[in-house]
Amino acid sequence: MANTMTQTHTIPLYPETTPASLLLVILDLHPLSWSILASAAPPPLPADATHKAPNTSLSLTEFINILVVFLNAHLAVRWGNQVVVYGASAGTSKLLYPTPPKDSEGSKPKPNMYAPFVRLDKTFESSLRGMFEEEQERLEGQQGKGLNDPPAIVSALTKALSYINRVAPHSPSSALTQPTNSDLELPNSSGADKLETRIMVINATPGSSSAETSETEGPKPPTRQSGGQRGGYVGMMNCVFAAQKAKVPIDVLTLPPTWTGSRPPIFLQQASHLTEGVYWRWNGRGGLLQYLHVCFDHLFYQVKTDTGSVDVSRTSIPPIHSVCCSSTRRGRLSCCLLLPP
Amino acid sequence: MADNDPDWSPPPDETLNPDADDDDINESSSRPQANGKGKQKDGALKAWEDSYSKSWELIEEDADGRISGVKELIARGRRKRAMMSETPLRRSIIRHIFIILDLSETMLDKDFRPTRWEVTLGYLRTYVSEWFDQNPLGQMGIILLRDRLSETLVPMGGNPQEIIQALSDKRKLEPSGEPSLQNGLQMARGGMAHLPSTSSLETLTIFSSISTSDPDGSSTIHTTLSDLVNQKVRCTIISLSGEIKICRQICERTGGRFGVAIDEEHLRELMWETIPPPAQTIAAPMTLGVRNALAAGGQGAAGGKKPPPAGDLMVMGFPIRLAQGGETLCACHGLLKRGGYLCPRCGSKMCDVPTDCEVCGLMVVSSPHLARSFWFLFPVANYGAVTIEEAREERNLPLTCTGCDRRFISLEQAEENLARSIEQNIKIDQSMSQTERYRCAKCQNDFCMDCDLYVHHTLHTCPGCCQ
Repeated sequence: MANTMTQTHTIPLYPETTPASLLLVILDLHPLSWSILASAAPPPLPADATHKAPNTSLSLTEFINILVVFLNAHLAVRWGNQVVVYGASAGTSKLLYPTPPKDSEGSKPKPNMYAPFVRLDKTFESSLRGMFEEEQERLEGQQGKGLNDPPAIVSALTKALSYINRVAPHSPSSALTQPTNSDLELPNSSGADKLETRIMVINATPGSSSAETSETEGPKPPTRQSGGQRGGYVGMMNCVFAAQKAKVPIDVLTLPPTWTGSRPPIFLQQASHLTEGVYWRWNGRGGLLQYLHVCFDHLFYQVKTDTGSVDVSRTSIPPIHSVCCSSTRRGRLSCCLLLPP
Repeated sequence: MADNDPDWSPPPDETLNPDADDDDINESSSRPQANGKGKQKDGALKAWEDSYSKSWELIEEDADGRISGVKELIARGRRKRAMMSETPLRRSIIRHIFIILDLSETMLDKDFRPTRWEVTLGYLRTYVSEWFDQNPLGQMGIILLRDRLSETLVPMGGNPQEIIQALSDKRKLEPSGEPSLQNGLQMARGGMAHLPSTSSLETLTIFSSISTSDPDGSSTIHTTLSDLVNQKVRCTIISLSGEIKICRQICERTGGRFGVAIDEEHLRELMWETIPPPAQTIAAPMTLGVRNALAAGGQGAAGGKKPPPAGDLMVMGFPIRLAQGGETLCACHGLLKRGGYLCPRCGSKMCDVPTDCEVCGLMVVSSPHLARSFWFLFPVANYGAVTIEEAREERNLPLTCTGCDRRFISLEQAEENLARSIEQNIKIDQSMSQTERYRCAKCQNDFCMDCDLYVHHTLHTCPGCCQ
């Protein structure tokens, strides 16, 4: 760590202008998972942890608020940053943002708001509502049969990868014709104009419940390990390999905290491990937005530390994060691993 | 050789080039010219006499900004895929391959630009990574042929980085002397002698010379050939110069393929053909012992008579990954290293998977490696082209591609395009859709052309079917 710190003064480790970044968010919108998340009664903190934020439940509205701020932050960091959001509900997935412009909704430009923010806020909300209505109709039409289907994360992942393939094609043909030294990969060759892509999966569905006795009333949550799910393991692994090939990391935020007694989603863990993405499980306490910024928006952090204008340690994040995040860009992973449980 | 190619005729005026090397003329006159691919040079100019063709000036864009030649290529790929039967085929997933490289002086010939060797080396580097991508459980070694000797550049191993590293050091790879095909094949055979017959043994030879100078003695290349046949080593040879009888004979008798590379692109095609796992040729009884043992072991004291499971079975182990702790000795190199994997059977430590355990010989793989081969087991169905008539009958046609959410062209526009291409006498390709829609037969979702390619070549999962 110290070594890289000293080097930064002499040789810049990464290009001065970070490339524009495309963030593809896959949001689990399974109605059952969210109802469990919102209704779960959080256990009180132990007596010796009074200085910590209390355990809280999380409703979808609260989380969407947080997510929109997070996405706006991503848009604001650098001109040219883009955001794509997919929703994955029981058995189907859908592109939520950006949607093709339907008809010129008499959009009054808001003079006091950054235009991309306006666009995101408006479209995201309306398409989210649209998807909920569709889902309600669909599930009512099936008499709640499809409700136990697992969320179509795999389907959303395939769509996200196809989207990346269209927007920022990773061309193997150029690599084939030019005999280049693959071990001598130049950091500048990828260029500042090349779009940096990441996929972020926000999972709300708990893995199989580890404690069957503490089962909550009502329908069982859809489990990821259940056999016979469509596009399960094989589909997930195929996505992982395609992402590896395109050098797209898959970040995973899994929301059901440990105190719900659920197991972590194993496939998603494996996906983020294999693609060198960030995996983080929400600890069930407050400050989720801050954690999101620290763990997942590395670009945001990097700009802050590059200019040196913001003292990271002054924010209320425990100092251990700031050390990792400010020292190297590669500290991303370690930052996530070092989070206190 | 010329007989194979009906369109080929000997160049009429070979005297045009008095200072050209005699060798070159003889050699290349045994090679067919590239024709039928739009590469026919005017007159009798040979590849090395031609002025540098500015290929970038030939590119034409169509109305959508798509490069026009690309469409034909894509159409060809589609046809090729459609021709591949979807009948189930038993493939060898565990492959062992030796790449035998001719490193004789002929490799310095300049008919492939800049030289044959440079072109081969460039392709080889991507070939290695692509090969390991599709055959994660495979192992590869490299043998060089020069000065009538054969030397092992990289011993059989499963680490693509190691091989690419070895190939990137050009100083060690100076072509010289003459090759000996026999020595190379012998060495490959020896290197694979200890391997079990359950894995597919292969060699890929890239042969540039038109002769082989083999050692004197009682053992000739024909005895080597019968040894190879006995050991079921599949030999594939790609010749860079011309067809050589012994090469063809070797390939035919061992069940491999022989090809003569016409130009750089063709060389690449020939090499890439060997990447997908070959159809299984190993007889099922090979693993009958294992299956019987499994059937017997499964029943224990119950003593019920269960038939052995159908199909071949292999013993494999999933290792335990060690956390990054202190340094311990590994069994494979005998070095102190952090991390690593523990063999589930004997508990010895190895540096990397997939590999065979040094101590007990168990094949150790990790589940992602195995999963990489799954797309052969669960292939994506071919997408059919949606014609204008079909699209017109459809009531609610989806507006966007299911994969990438790109907007499809409207039907009116499709008709317009069709009318224009009829006007310009452009041949209409049946495998290409005029509406630019390709429909999955299973889930009935429409996809654009890019997604069709991406799903079938890279992703191997249909975005619609997994919903």
